[in-house]
Amino acid sequence: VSRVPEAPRPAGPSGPWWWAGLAAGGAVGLFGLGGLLRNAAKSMPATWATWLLGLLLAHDLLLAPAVHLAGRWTRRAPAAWRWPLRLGLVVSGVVALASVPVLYGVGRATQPGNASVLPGDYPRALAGVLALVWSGVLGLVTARRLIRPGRGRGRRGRPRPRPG
Amino acid sequence: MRARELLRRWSRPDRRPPGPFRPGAFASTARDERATALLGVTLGVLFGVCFVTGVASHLIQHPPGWFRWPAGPVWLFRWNQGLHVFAGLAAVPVLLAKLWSVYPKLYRWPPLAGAAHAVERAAVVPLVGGALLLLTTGIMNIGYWYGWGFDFLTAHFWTAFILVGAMLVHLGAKLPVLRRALGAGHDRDRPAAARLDRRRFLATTGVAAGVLLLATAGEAVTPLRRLAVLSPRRQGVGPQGLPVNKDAATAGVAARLGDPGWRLAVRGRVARPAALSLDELRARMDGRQGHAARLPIACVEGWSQEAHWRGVRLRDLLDEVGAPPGAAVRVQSLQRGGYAAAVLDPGHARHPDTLLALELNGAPLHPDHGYPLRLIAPSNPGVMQTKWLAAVTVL
Repeated sequence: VSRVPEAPRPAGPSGPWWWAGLAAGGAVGLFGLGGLLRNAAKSMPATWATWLLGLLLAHDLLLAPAVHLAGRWTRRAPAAWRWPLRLGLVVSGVVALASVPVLYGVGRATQPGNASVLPGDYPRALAGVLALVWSGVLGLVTARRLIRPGRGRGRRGRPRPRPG
Repeated sequence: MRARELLRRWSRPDRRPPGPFRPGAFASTARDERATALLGVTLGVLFGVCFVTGVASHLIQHPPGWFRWPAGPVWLFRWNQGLHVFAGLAAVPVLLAKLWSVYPKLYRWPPLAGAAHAVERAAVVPLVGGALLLLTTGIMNIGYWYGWGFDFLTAHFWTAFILVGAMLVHLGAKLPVLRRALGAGHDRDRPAAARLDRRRFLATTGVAAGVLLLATAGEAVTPLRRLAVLSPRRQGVGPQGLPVNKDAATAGVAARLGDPGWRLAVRGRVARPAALSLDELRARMDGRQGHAARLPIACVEGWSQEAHWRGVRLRDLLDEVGAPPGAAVRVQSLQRGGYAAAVLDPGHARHPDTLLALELNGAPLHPDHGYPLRLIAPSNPGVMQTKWLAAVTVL
């Protein structure tokens, strides 16, 4: 019989706070799950679970790897650009993501006669916001060059671990 | 025992899969316990605000016997809903940053370290899935995109309890890490460059939240209204300069609003039931029962705007028909289904600013704002500010 080497075993959670959290959180969570199941005609638990797990997988398998790759890509930028570039990408991504419902605009069809529902020209508004964000990024790069001249002119900065 | 042995064999260090599982696959120095802890605490506060305000809003609209929502200050419900929606929006970058900071843990090897650790990891599914579901459904809902199939209110409400439960489990598991990461001396051995990376990462998260709020919060925060280019509503945009939650055509009342035979029935537990015509109500507005008030319309979806209302004080009308002083009042719309009726507790019904309004911003109500007559009460959800009134019933 071959010996299986002992895997390193970091301790799992323990102690009174773990048990208190587990008891309280378990109770509240089960109360929520119970409410969801009692109102199954409205909450549609199978659809609900599909959305919950779908969003979880969409984050873990699509969004997070995409952000990771984008982070690695920014590593190629000159040092003075790196942080402002990441700032611009993150802010643009977050604002665009949160604006998907107004950009899609399907809500207007819920009340065709109500011009106060989604009244904006959202693609243009988003373009304007992103233009301001990237102006800020350019301003940040310029300011950093003025404060610390010599950095970021194509020179690689101090060695840094790969982001991601 | 056999299962444990299998797990041990399977999770041997030399069986570590490639790719994200290998050590050093994620090496950004911006990731550290302190960043995760700070984001976790921030997220806890934001979701805590969302939970408390969300449950409050639910209780206001479906009040159990023990619950009383105060009628003053007049801005109370407006603040409640504004905090709910904008804390939720601000949580978007904070949640994504928190997930980024712990993403490598998804690929830890060996994946499990005992039963308690398995429970802790399992609780991450409702934690992360619940948080993503609440923010996604919330943001879609304020954008009037009901693309899920399930009922928004039911799913959003009960998922909140599931998330709070998972947050408590997570907090109990992570309290030692939290203490360590936020305690003094945590950074003693950390290079200055890594601390700078962390500060930049946290600053980036803050800027993202700030830009998102600046571009949306003006639908509720009047000084920011010109900046609210990405909000689903805009202050000042709508008939009579005020947004409309539901228009008369959609509510199915448009054809019945010009009826000269329209009367407001005042009935129920009253000494002298009445049926008042529009002219009789106007005469009361211009007389002793007349009153004007600046009150906000505050929608559960977060937008709100103050307006100038004029009409008949509900309190005075209740006295005129001989209603008992401590009675609740139901206001009933011409509309059918949906939010066709609302019950006012005695505190709201007797508040000096609670009006049966005939005028908005100096002109008769636009049909979409509830012509001929609507309710406007302080600290009351927009969906309970019933429009196109047909009856007032003393309960």
